[in-house]
Amino acid sequence: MNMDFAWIELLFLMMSLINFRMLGASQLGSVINFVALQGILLALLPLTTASQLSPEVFSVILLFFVLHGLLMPWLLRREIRPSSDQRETRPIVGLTASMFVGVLLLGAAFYVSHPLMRSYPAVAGTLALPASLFTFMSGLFLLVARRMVLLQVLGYLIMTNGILAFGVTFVVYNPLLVESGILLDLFPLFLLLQGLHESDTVIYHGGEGDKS
Amino acid sequence: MKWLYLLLILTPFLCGVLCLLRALSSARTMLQFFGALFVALIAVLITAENLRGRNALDADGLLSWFGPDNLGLVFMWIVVLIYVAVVGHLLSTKKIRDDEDTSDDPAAKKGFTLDREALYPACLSLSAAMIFLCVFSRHLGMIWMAMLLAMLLTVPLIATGKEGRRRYLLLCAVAGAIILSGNFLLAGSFGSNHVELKCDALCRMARLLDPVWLRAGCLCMLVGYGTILGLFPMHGWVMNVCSSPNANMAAYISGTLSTCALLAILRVYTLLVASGQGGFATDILLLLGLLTVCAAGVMMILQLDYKLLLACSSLSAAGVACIGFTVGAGVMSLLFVMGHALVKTALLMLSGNIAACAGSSAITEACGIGVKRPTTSLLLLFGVFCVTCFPPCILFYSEFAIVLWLFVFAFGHPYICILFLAGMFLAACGLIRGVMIMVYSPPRSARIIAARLIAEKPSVIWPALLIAAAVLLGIYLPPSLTALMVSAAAEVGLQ
Repeated sequence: MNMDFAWIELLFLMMSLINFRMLGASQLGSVINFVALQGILLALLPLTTASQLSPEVFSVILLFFVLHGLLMPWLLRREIRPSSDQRETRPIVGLTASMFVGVLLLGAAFYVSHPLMRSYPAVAGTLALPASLFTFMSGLFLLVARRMVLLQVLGYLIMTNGILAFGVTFVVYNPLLVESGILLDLFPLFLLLQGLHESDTVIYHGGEGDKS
Repeated sequence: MKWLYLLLILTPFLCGVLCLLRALSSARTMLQFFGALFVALIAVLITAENLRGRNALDADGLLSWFGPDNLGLVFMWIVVLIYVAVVGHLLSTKKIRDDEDTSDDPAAKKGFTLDREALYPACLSLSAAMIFLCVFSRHLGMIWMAMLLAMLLTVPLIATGKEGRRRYLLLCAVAGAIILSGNFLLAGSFGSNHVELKCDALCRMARLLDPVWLRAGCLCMLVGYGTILGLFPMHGWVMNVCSSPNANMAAYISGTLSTCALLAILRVYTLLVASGQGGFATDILLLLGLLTVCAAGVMMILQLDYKLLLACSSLSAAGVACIGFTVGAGVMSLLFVMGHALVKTALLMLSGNIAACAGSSAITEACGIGVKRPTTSLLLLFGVFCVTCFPPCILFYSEFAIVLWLFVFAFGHPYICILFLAGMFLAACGLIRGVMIMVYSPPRSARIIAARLIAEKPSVIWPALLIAAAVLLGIYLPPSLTALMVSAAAEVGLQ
C-alpha cells in the first residue's frame, strides 16, 4: 500500500470535522450539502490510498463521486418542500447533547481502533481507522437520534460513507469488494423512490386471504 | 452438476420476471406454483447427485463462488419447503381471496392496483432466487450481496403500511452495513495481500489471518447476521413482519431470511473455529442465544397478541438453534431448525386464517375461534404442541438432545442451564396459554359471534401438510437425511 500520508490525514480530518458539523445541524439543506461534500472527499480517498490509478480504482472514484457526491444529495434535495419546515424541531437527542455525544464517539473510535492499528503498521499513527470509525458511529447515532425520516436517511448515508472510507483505505486492492458497497445505497434509494419517507396515508394490502 | 444449481436460482428468477408481464396477469399464481414445484424437483436432483458423491466444489474462477456443501443442501431444503408451501397456500386460498375482494371492505382494495398485483408475486419469486443464491454462495461477499438483495425485494411484501416498511428497510440497511464492515475487516486481516473471501480458502488460511482483525470482522458479521436471524436485542424486524396482516408473507420472510442468516452465521463460526478462536465464537453465540431465549420467554408470557406470540416463538427458536450449535449438538440443531421452520410456517399461515375470521390479532378478540374455525383451531393446537416440543414431533427429540448437550457443556455453570430452561418454560406456558384462551373461551367479539362457518379445507391443506411432515420426521427419519445431516454437521466441526 502506497499511501500519501499528508493527503490522507487531511481528507480524514475534514471528514471528521464534517461529522461534528452535521451532529450540530438541524437544517435539512445544510446537512445535505455536507453529506455531498463528504461523498466527494470519499471519492478522492482512493487517489491517496491506491498504489496505482488502475481502471478499477478509477471506477471506484467515479462511482462514489456520482452516487455519494451528486445523485443521493440531489435526490434528497428534491424531497425538500418549500412549504414544509426544513428543520428538525424535536430531535430525540438535542443538538448540543449530540455534539457532546460526538466527542465521546470520537474518543471511543480512537480507543477501539488502537488494537486494530497496532497489527496494521502501514496505517499506525494515522487518522484513517479512527476517523472512518467515527464517521460510521456518527451516522448510526444520527439515525437513532433524529425523528425526521430524511435526517435518518442522511445519518445512514454518513454511516455508509464511514464504511466505504474504511474499505477504500484498507481493501482498495480488492476494488470489486469495495464497489459492492454501493449496494448499500439501494436502501435509501428504494426508500426515497417508493415515498416511504412520507406520512402513512395509503392503505396497502398485499393480496392474501387474510385481511385486518 | 453446476448447471443444476444455476437452474435452481434461475427458475424463481424467471418466474418473477414473467409475473411482471401484463399478458400473464391471470396465470401468475399458477405460474409461481409450477415454478415452485420445478424448484422442488431440481432440489431432489441436486440431493441425489450429492448422495452419489458428485459435487461441483472444485470449479475454478467465478463458478467456484457457488455450489452448496452438505450444510448448504440442508438449508436449501428448508428454503425449498417454505417456498413451495407458501406458494401452494397462495394458490389454495386464491378462491377465498377473490371472494373477499369482490364482497367487502372497499378501503382494503384502495392500494391494490394492477401494478401492485404484479409486484407482489414478482418480488416473492425474485427474493426466492436471491435466497437460493445466498444458500449456494461460498463467498462471504456474495452471501452478503444475495442477502441484501433478498431483504430489499421482501420490502414490498410487508403489508404493515409505510411506517412498518420504513422501519424494516432501515433495520435491514443497518444490518447490511454492519455485515459489510465485517467483510472489510476480514479482508483487512490479510494485511495488504490480495485474498478472496471464499469460505474454503479462508478456512485453509485461517491461522495466518491477523487475529484482532479477524475477531473484529467476525463480530460485526455475527451481529449483522444475528440481526437478520432475530437475536435479542436486534429482533425488532421479526415482530414487525409477523404482525403484518399478510400472514403468508410473514411466514415466508421470517422463515427464509432467518434460515439464510443462520447459515451465514455457521459459515462465520466455521471460520473462527478453523482459526483457533472457537471459544470466542462460542461465547458470543451462547450469550446472544441465552439472552434471546430468556427475553422471548418473558415477552411470550406477557403477550396479548397471537401474531406477536408466534413472532416471539421464532425468536426463542433462533436462540435455541444458536445454543445448540455452540454446545456441539450439530445434527440435532439442524433437525431442530428444519422442524421449527416447518411448524412455524404452518402456524403463521393458520394465524392468517384466524385473523381473517376475527378481524384482529388480539387474543381476546379471537376467543371462540374453536367454534367458528374448528379445523384451523385443531391444527393450531397440534402445531403449538409441536413447537413447544411435545412428542412425537421432531422438535421434541432435537430439543431434548440440545438440553442434554447443554447440561454436559455447561457442567459447573448451572445458571446457564437454569436460565435456558426457565426461558423455554415461560415460552411454552405463554404460547399454550394464549392458544387455549383463543380456542376454548366462548366468543366475545361481535365479529366472531357473527362469523359464519365456511369450508376451511383450502386454507388448511398446506399447514396440515407441514405439521404432518414435522411429526413424520419425528417418527421416522430417513437414513439419507440422517447421513446428510451428519456430514453437514461435520463440516461445521460438530457432531
